[in-house]
Amino acid sequence: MQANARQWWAEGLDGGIMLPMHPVFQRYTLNLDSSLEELLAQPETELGLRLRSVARNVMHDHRVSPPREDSFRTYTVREPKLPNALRQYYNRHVRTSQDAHFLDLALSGDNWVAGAPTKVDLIDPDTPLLRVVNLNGEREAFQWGTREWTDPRNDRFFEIAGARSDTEFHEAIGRQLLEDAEAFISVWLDMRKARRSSLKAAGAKKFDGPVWAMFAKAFLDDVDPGKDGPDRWFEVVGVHPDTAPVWAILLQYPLRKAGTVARPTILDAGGYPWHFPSPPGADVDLGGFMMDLCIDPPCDHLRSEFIHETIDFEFEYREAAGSRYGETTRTGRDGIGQQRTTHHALLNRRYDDVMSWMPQCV
Amino acid sequence: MRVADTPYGWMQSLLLPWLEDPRRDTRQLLRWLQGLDLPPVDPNDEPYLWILRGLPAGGDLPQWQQRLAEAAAHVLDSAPDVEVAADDPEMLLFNLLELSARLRCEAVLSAPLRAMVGRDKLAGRQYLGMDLRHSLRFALTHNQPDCELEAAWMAMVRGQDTPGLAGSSRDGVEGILQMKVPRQPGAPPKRAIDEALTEYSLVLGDSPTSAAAFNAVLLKVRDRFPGHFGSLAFVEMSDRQKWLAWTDMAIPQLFMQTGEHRYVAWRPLYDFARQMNSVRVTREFCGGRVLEMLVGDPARERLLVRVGKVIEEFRDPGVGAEVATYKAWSAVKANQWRDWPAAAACAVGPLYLLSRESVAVSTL
Repeated sequence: MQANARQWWAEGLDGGIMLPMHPVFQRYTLNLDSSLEELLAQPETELGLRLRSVARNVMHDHRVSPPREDSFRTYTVREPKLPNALRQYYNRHVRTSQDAHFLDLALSGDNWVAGAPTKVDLIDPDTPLLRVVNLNGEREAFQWGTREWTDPRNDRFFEIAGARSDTEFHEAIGRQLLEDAEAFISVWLDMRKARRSSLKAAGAKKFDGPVWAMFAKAFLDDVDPGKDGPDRWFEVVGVHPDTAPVWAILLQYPLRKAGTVARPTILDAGGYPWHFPSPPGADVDLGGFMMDLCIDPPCDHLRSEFIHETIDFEFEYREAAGSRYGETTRTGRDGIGQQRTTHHALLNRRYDDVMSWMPQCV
Repeated sequence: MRVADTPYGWMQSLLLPWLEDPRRDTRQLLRWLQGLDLPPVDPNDEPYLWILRGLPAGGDLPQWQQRLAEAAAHVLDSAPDVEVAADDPEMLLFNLLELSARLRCEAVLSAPLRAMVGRDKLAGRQYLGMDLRHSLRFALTHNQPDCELEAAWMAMVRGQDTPGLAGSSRDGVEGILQMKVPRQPGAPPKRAIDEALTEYSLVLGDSPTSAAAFNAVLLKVRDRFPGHFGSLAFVEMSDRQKWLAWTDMAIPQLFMQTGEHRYVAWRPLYDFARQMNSVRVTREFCGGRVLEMLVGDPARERLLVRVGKVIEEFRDPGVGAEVATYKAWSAVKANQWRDWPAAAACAVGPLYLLSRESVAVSTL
């Protein structure tokens, strides 16, 4: 009924107001047709499919609340191309901000599942969460460590922070890990705590973005500790490294330590093409559902994903995760079209009305 | 132009035609530096990283870097630290300076970067919690065609005020190490390095972590100027500049052959050799903490080399001299070398006991 009404209005019959052809956040209040059309018309190349994925995610991510959509609208006016608007919004209100929008009750309260001051936790606070940390993604933290942290142990980061190329950067981290992984990770965690505490200064700007995590059990059910290394770790959490190799470690911690835990949205993912919205029928306390990037064989079950604010990660969290670290051997697997289609089919088997919610996923 | 259907290829297809265009619009670079118009990649990567990844590897890389540096210099010349049309000026400046640091085209970039230092408009401005004057210092460090900034770097090493720049003593040393002697490609500014290392050792002081930090810098000096800082160079520098005793643990090599039957070694080896009555001191360094010895007897020479290597193995910047000596004598004493003369065993016993006492005293 709603779809028919939309079509009728969109055609401008009876002198009605022209409404958008494409939904944004599963509503028709924001008109991004021009940019969406451009993205949806992209060819079936890896680049084209990534851009089409961004469009589909924005069209159907119903989890973005109307007030948050209102905040996002400003960026679509400044930057009519959707990927630009997503990036600028992400930089301003998710990754670095005075007040991250995913932690704002009025904008994202409906997506909070634990730790929120206004609700009873929807998940047992003792539930272990797991995070895969890409140490090569810590470049600015290492720079902060050498530039702003006064601890003499910051000497460990000097070569890392000053690296000229990706290769130099990776090798500098590797030297520290191979020399003494425990000591290096311990200093890194201490530096991260110091960095976080600097945010508590009056007027300080946040710059740590959301942390992405999943239930530890779900990860361990699908990762063979004896066989699977970081290539598989990233696949399981739906992350597609575009550079290789990268170093990764695992952290495991109880949900109660994670602060405010929320179901993520495409805005919290900065338009990341491998993000996939969860269907309207899925309960909030299940979080989002990450795509498994391995499609041969395809994953036959859904895994929940959450975001939470940056916390003080303790060394024992690494031990709880088995003190494992390693490096990837390749970039993420290509084939985003197949990856998304496989995940879409899986959602369709688990939930009603998936095809009417999101008829096409790429 | 054919490029791969990968993020690197997509970036190349954006960047290279733009760099090839002699009338390129540098406003596009401003947009890239803010993360706009980039391919769909991880939004957590700073934009300058993807701009660099868009440069093709291979023999033409320096030419592409030069063109990109020219575009960056054009933006720097427009004084973006004073005024720039950007949603997040700090993000733009951070990315511009980090890009400049990694391009390392001093002929193009040094002048506009030095002009930015002169304007001193970055004080109090941060990106991701970092003072932007660090990024400027980093860019300046790696774009030096000469030694003109020596005074600024030395002030930084000493912890003194450096208008327009932010950096630690270690950063100041790095600034010195990246200076270039005009018309002498690859030559180190030796006097400046001597002074900077000496000042840096004084700033570090004798703390448990100092030797490791100083060792890292000495290794950096050696690697930065291949062939210019041989095995004896740091011993001579220490001698000349009167470095304090704790720096002995930081010097990369303290046991080396300097001629026929001649060895330079750390004092503990001399203490052993003296008891064997087998050597003559031909030179002293560092107030007698390091000595050059002439060994008369070939059998004793073999023995000294063996013991010297053990001591060198245990000389560790992560531990104090007492602990290193004690560990070395423990190892020598525990060894059951087949041709180990009785006199040597007699000499090691007292040295071992003495070193054990020193460790006990130092840990009290």
